[in-house]
Amino acid sequence: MTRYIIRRLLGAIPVLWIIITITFFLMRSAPGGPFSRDRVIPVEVRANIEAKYHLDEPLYKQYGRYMWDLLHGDLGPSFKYKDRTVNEIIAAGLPTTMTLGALALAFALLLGIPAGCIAALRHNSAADYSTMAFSMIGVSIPNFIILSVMIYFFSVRLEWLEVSGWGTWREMINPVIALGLPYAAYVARMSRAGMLEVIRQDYIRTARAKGLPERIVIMRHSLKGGLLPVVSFLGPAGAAILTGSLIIETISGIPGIGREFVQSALNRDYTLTMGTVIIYSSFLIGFNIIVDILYAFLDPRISYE
Amino acid sequence: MSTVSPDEPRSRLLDKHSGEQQAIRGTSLWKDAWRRLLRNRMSVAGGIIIIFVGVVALLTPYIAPYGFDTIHLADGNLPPCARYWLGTDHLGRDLLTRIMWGGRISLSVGLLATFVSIVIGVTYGAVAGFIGGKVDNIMMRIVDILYGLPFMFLVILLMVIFHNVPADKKLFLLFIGLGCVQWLTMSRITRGQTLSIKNQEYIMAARTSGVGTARMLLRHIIPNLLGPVIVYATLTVPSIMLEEAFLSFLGLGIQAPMASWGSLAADGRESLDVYPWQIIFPGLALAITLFSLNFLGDGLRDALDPQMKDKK
Amino acid sequence: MKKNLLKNVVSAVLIVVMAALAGCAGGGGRNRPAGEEAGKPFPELKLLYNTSEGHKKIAETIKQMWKKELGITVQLDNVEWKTYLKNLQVLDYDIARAGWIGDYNDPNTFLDMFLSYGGNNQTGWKNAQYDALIESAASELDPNKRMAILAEAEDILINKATPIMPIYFYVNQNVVKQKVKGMTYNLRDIHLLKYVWIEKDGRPAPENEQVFRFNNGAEPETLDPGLMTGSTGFNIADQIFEGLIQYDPETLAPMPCIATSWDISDDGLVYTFHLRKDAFWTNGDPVTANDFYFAWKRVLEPVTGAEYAYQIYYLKNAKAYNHKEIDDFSKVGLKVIDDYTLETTLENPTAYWLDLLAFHTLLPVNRKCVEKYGSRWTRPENIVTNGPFKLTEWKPKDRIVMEKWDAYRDAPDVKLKKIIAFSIEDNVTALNMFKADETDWIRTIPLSHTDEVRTWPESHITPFLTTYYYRFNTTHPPLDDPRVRQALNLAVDKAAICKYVLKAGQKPATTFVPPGIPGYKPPKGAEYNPEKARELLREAGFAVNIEVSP
Repeated sequence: MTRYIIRRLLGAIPVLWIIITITFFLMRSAPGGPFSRDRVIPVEVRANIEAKYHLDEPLYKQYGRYMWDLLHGDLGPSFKYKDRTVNEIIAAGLPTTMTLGALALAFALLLGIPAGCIAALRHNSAADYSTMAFSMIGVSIPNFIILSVMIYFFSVRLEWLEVSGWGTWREMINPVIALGLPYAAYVARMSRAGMLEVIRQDYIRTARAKGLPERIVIMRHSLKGGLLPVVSFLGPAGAAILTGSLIIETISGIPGIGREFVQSALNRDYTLTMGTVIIYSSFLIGFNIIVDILYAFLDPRISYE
Repeated sequence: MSTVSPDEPRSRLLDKHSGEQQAIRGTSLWKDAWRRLLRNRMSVAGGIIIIFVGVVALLTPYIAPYGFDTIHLADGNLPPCARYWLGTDHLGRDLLTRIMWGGRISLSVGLLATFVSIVIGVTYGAVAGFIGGKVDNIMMRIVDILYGLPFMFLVILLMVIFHNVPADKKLFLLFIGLGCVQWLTMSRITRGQTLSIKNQEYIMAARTSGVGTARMLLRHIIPNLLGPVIVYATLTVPSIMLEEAFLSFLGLGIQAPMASWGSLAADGRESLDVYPWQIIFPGLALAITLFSLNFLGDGLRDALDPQMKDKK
Repeated sequence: MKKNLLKNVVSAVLIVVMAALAGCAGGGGRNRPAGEEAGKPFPELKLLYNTSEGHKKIAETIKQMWKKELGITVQLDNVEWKTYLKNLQVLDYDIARAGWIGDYNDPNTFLDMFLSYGGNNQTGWKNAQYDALIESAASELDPNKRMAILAEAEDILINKATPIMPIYFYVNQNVVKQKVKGMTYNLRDIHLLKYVWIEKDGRPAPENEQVFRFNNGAEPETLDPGLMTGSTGFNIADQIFEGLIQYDPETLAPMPCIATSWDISDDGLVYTFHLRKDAFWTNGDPVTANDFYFAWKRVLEPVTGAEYAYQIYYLKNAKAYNHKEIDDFSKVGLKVIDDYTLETTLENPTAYWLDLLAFHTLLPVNRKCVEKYGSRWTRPENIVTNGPFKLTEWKPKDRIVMEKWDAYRDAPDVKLKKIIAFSIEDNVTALNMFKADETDWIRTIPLSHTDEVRTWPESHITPFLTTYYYRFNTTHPPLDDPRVRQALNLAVDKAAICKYVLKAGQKPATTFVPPGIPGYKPPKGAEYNPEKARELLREAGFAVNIEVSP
C-alpha cells in the first residue's frame, strides 16, 4: 500500500507539469492581456510595462522563467494586484476558501448521508419520498438563488445574520448552507443508491439471516459498501467545492481565493491564474489519490496489485 | 456495488449459451422494467411532466403569446395580470413567453450535453476500468489532467475562438463544452463500477470461455452499468442546467435577447425583493422540471434493476 | 438481440428529439415581410458589448428600436471584457458600446479621443479638419475662443461625420445614510472625506462614533498613486495623499493645497508653484518640492511601467523621456528651485494643467519609504502618507481601514475618526448591506432597484462627467456611409431608454461632451426622428422594410 501511495504521488508530478504547461500556453493565447484597458495606453508606455513584467520576451523564455521560479516556490507578482505577489494572495485567500469549503462539505455529509441511508432503508416509503424530494430542492435550485433568498430573509428582513463578510458565525451561516446544500443533495442521492444495492447483497442477507440486530447490520456491514459511490463522488466534489465558491464568495463578499479561479482568467492575470490552477490541480489530484485508497480499503474486491 | 443479484451470473451465463432463450428473456426484461416503471407513481408523474414540458418547448414558436424579444418599454416590471399572465421583466417582455423559450434552451442544453457526456464518459470509463493496469493508469491520468484545467477558462476560450460564429452555433458549442466537462465525472464513476463488476464470477467465467474484450464490454460490462449511469445522468441534466445558470450569472451563457431558465433566474436574482415574480416563475419552471427528471431517473433505475424482481 | 435493438431505437429517437430541440432553440421569431421596397437589403450587423446587465438591456432595447423603425436586424454579441477590448482595438466589430469618463473638467478630455491618430479613437474614422481644430484649440490661449473651436470640432464629430452615437449622460448614484453630513456631489464623483462627519441628535456625534463605512466597489489594484488607474484606488488615495492642488468639493475648481500659490508665465508655458511649509509626511519629514520631483520622475522612468505616465506628458520632454528617446531627465520641464518652490515647463500651453495636478498620478510619494520597501511600500505597516487620514489596515478583498492622522495640519477640522472601505463587488449585496445598516454609503444602485431606491431621502442623484455611447466601425460597409450612421442615431429614442431602462434620472445625450463644463457651449445635436432616419437610409440606397404592426 505504501508503495502504491508513493507511486501515485510520483505519478502526480508529470500530471501537474502537463497541467501547468497547457494552462501557461492557453492563457497566453487568449485575446487581450493583463494591461489591455479601455483607455488605450501609448505603445511606448505599454512596452515599458511589458519589459517590467518580462512580457516582451519570447514565450519559451517566459515559460522557462516561470518554471524556474516555480521550482523555487515563487509564483511571481500578480499583474492585476500590483502591490502583491501571487504567493501572498493565495496565502491570504486560501485558508478562508478552505474553511468555507470544509464547513460546507461537513454540512453536506452530515445532512446527506443520514438522509440517504434512511431513504434507502425505508425504500418507497413516505420518508423516502420526502427525503428525496427535499434533497432535490438542493439540486434543482441554483445556489445563487438559495443564497440570495437566505440573505434577504435572514439578513435584511430579520437581521439575524450578517449580509456579507467572513469571520463570525453570523457571517458564515448563509454562505456555508448555500454552498453545502447542493452537495448534501448529491450525497443523499448517492448514499441512497449505494445503500439500496448493498442491502441486497449476499453478505447482508447472511448477516440478517444470522439474526444480527438491524443496527449492527447497517452500521457495521452496509454502510461501508453503501458509501462507496459517495466516496468516489467526494474526489471531484472536494476540489470542486473550492471553485464552486466563486458565486458564493462574490455575493457574500468573502475574501477567499474562490473567485480568483474565474476572475483572474477574465483579468488575464497570468500568474494568478497559474497559481490558482496549480492549487486546484494539486487538491484534485490529492483528493483522487485519497479516494482511490479509500476505495481499496472499503471494497476488498478492488486491489492495486 | 454491483447491480447483479446472486442468481444473476448463472442466468446470464445461460443466456450466453442459448441464443433463443436470450431473445425471450430479453423481451421480458424490458417489459418487466416498463411494468415496474408504471407502478412507480412518482416516476410516472415525473415522466408526464417532462413530456408536457417537452411538448410545450417544441410548440413554443406557435403558442407563445408574444415574441421572446418583444419589448414593451412602458409595461416594465408588471406583476402577473390578465395581459401578462406571469408578469413582465424590466423591459416589459412577457415572462411567460420568455420562460417558454427559455425552456427550449435549457432542455436542449441539458439533454444534449448529458448525451455527449454519457457517450464519451461511459465508453472511456468502461474501457479504462476493464482493461486496467497501465492503460487504466494512463487513461485516468489524462482525466486528472483534464480535471485540473480551469473549466471556466476553457469555456471562455471556446467562446473567444469561435467569436465570429453566429449566436445559435455558439449555443451548440456551449452544449458540447459543458458535455465535455461533465464526462470526466461520468468516466470516473463508470470506471469504479467496472472495476468491481469485472471481478464478478460471471465475467471471469465469460473470460475463461474466451469472449473478446470489445464484446465483453458491449455485452456484459456496459449493460450492467446502466443503473448507475442512469442515476448519474439524471443528476447530470440538472447540474448542466445549473452550470448553464452559473455561466449566465457570469454573463457567459446564452446570448441575449435569447434566454434560458438559468439566465432568467440569474436576472431575477437581482430583483428578488422588488419584483419577486421575475425569480419565482423561472425558478419554479427550473425546479419542477429538475424534480420530475430526478424522480423519473429514480424510477428508471429501480425499474432497470433486475433485483427488484425478487423484491415485490 | 432484441434488447440491443430496442436500446438502439430508444437512443436514436432521443438523438432526433434532442437535435430537433437544439435546432429550434436557435431559430428566432417569425417575421413576415410587409410591402417590399426597392433598394439593397440592409446587411445584418453585430452589436458588441461587454458583459453587464445594463449594457445588455440597453442593447436589447436599441436592437428592437432599429428593427421597428428601420427594419434593420442586429445581432447582439456579448463578450467578456478583455475580448471586448481586443475587438475594439483591432476594429473587429460593427457597432460597439462604449463609455468615457472625463479625466478633467474640460471638453478636451472627450474630444481629443477622436483625433485620427488617437489611440482611443477605435472607430477607423479619420478627419483632417477635426484634427486641425483640436490641435489649434490646444495652443489657443484665449479661453472663449478655445471653447468655440472645440464646439466646432464637436459639431463635426456628432452632426457631420457621426462615427459615434451618444446615448446618455451618466449620473452619480450616491446613497448616503442621513446621519452622514458634509458630503458634496460633483461632476467627477470625487469625495474628500475630511469634510464629512457623522451627526447624532442634531449635532456631531462623539468622537468614538465618528466611524464612516462605505463600499468601494472592488479591491483596489494598488494603493501606489503613481501606478493606480481605477476609481477603487483613487477613492482611497484621495483621503491619504495630498497633491499640489485640490478640487473645490462642489465646483471642482483648482484650489491651493500643498501649493499655496502659483505664477503662470505670459505664454502659458511656465508655472511656478510656491509650497506651504507646514505640510508633513506621517514619518515627520516635511513635504517639499523634491517629493514631487521624485514622484513624477518615478512615474516617467520607463522601468516603473506606470500605465498613466501619459498624464504627465504635458511637461516638456516628458514623453520623450518616458519613451526612452532621451535619457537626461534634466531636459524634462521639471525643476526644483528650492525646497518650497517647484517649476514646471510645458510642451504647449495647457489650459487644464492645474486641473491635472490633483490627478492621482501626480500625487507626491515619500522617497525614503518607496526606496526602502520597494513594491511593499503601500502596506499599512510601511506606508508613509501626507493626507488627513492614514492607512491602518488592508485586508485584501475585504476592507481597507483608514484612521484620522492626528498630526495633520488641519487635524482639528477633520471630524471622522475612522473610515472603513469595503471591497464588495456585487451591487445587490452592497445595497443589502446598506439596508441592514452595515454600510453608510454605496455608490451604485442596481438597475433592478432604481425605482425603489431613487426616491429615498438618502439618494443623491447628480450629473457625472461621463457619456455612454456607441461606436460605429467606419471601416465596415455600410457603416462607412455617414448617412447610415446618422440614420441609426436618429432612430434611437434615447429619452425612452433613460426613462424606462435606466430610470435613475440619466439624461438622453445628443452631444458627446456632457453638460456642465464651465464656459463650454456644445453644438446642437440631432433629436430622435425615425422618419428622417428612414429617409437617410433610402438616400444611402437601402430598402426600408418595416413590419406593419397589426
